Amino acid sequence: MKRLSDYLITLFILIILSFYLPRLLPGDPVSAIFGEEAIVNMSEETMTEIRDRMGLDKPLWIQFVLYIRNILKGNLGYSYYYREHIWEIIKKSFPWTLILIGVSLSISSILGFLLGIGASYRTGSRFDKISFITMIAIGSLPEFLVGITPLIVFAIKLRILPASFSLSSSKFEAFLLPCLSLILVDFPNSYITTRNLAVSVVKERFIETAKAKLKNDRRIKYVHIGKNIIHPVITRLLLRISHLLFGAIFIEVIFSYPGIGMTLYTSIVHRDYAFVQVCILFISITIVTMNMITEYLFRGEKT
Amino acid sequence: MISLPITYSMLQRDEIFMKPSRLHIIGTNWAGQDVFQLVLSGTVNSILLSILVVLGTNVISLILGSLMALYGKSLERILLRIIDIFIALPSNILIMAVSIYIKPSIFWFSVILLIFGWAQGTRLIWSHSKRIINKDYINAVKSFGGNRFYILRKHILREILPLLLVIAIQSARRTILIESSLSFLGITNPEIVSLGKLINGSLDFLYLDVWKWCLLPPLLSLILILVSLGFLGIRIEGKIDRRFKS
Repeated sequence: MKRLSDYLITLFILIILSFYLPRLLPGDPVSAIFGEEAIVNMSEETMTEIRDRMGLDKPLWIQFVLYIRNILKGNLGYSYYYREHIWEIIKKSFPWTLILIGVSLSISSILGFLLGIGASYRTGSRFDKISFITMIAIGSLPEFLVGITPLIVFAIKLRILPASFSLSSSKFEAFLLPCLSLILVDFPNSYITTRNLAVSVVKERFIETAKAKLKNDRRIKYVHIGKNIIHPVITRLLLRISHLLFGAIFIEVIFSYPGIGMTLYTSIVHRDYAFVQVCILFISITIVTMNMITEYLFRGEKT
Repeated sequence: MISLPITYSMLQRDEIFMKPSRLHIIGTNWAGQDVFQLVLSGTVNSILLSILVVLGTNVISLILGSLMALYGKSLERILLRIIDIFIALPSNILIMAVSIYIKPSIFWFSVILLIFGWAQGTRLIWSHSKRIINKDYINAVKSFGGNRFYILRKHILREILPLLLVIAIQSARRTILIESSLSFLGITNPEIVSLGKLINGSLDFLYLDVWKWCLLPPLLSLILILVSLGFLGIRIEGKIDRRFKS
């Protein structure tokens, strides 16, 4: 399979990049990999131990082999800011991100599916035009801008929901705003995709036949049309997971939600490069794997 | 004469969080800089960056895409493979990764964006040129003795030029999107004024009343830029689609 080899090359490029980028920096590679602040607090012994473990005095290709061996063994290193093994931090924070993405993506997909089919029935009406234009406008904004609006409205002006995860007593309440923002990020895409797909189905002859035979309009909408577009709709959903994984970083930062994006941001701010390196590798490999699986499941399907 | 890009050190300081007045039309921010001036400079910097990226993507995709279609064979196969790999790369997160380590200037940032963004445009140009080359009248031109560059100049270029506009708008949108997002996280060069940085900075002062003139102006101008680029893109794509269909 040709596509599979493409993805394998992509994964390889990702690993090379994550290996090579810190070593591009001028100066001591230890300080580039762990950050200057970690170096100041490090004793000579730890420094030499790290040098030995990563083989920093050896040629580059041996370092690369060591790097890959460490990754495969699950030995991702130690974060000096969090004072914990990197794998432990990822294990703790990634479920939060998964829950956030899972809940908001399913809600936005279901809403987009229902409303999109509804809109395809009324193409050309004023309501359809206005909502279509609004959706395109929201869809062209970056994630952080979409996230700020609920923050201002609900947390600053109305003060009914907590603005930050750490400040609130109830975890559920604090979950609502990030979730709402991520729904807003994804909904335009879901709505427009479903609408465009449904518009082409509505014109088909068999819908007219169904309309003549059945009285139940809702049944035609969601069973007859829905059956015909469910395949690309699911493909969209799977493809958006990888997209939202990147978008969630911004939403998490805005609401200081304890997912992987927020941990990544904190480690960037504190120059904990060891964690940044692994975390970015982890996120990008997840994205590529997701896309690979999607393509494998829906070969020949046009989205 | 102002030198570009505009940096924070080039702007004068006054008292912090001044209300809108005749001197400062929309007030000053947490560092005492004039918000109006900041928003204008951020916009200018974004436009400068996107001009660089747009020029780069257009030149690369025009040259590579049309050459691929003209010469075909192994050049086409290899480049298509490379394009597929580059499209499969999670470009946003890689641009982020590179900028974390390098903290690039505007020029180098545009180079990074180009590296991760040339593939889509090249593929578009390639597929359209390929379609034109496979038409019968090109065969006629060939049999009358027109060589490859004649075909490129006389027949392919004029069909492809409108596509460059599409690529330009898409890459401008992507550039401003990713630049503002990354500077919102504070990953880009800290010296260069950027709308994303202004927005992130004012988020710290949300509990004060100042957000009305600190946060809203950069927010609204960014929204304005991106939404208008989005609509422009859709309009032009629709027009070109109709043109190709007829």
